Amino acid sequence: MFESLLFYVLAGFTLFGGIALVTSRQPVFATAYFLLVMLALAGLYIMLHLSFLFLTQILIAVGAIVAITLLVVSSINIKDEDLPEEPNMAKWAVASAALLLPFIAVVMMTLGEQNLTFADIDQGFGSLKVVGLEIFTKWVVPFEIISVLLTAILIGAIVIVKKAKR
Amino acid sequence: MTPEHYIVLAVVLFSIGLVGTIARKNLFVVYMSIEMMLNSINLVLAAFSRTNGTEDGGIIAIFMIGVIAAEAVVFLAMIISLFKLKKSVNSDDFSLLKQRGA
Repeated sequence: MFESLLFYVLAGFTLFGGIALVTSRQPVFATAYFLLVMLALAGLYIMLHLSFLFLTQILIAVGAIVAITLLVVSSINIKDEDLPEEPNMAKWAVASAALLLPFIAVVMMTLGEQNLTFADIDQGFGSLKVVGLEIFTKWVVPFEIISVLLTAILIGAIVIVKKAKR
Repeated sequence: MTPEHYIVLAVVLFSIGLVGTIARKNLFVVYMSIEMMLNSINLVLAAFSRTNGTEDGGIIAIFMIGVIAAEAVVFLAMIISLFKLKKSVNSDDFSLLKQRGA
């Protein structure tokens, strides 16, 4: 009972934040709703007993991505009259939603036949110890690829920003 | 709560993100909509990790967060350099690769 109430509250926050993000005109408000979506998703991860994923979401998604987004939005500091005019926004929104409908219908039809249930889990499911053991035994190669990717991105971002100076 | 609840929520969040990506012209909102779509994929992975009782989905989601961070850095660097170029965050101003008169 309490669990389903918590789920609906978090889902409501997520969907409200998402819709408000997509419809907000000022990028600063959009970033605030983005933060709301990220925090609500972190709450959903803890409801799924994935505590290390929750920690990663808080540390990286909220602590790094949202923070750097807010930093860039406020450093660009665009004036209200310089924001793009979007007279056709509703038209495009309806068109893209209509494009999505068949895919959503397929997902719903597939879900209706499945009757999924949550598996019984051990005490340490999703904890730092279990996840760490899995990462350093089964997932070593993807883990190393991620570190190479992050190094490449670090250099690439500097190159992109430097080039525009000239 | 069943896994279906989480998957339906993720599908709806993905749809909102896709609509935002297509319908909006503000580059920041487009960027945040793409981030939201990636995060909804993470929610599906987490829900299936819990459904199967294995750690694999959760671990892929953790790696996904690393990839999302990398994508965010490149996207923000591109927004900064494009803003330096044209003093605008309107995606219609950056149509250099668009095919003209076809």
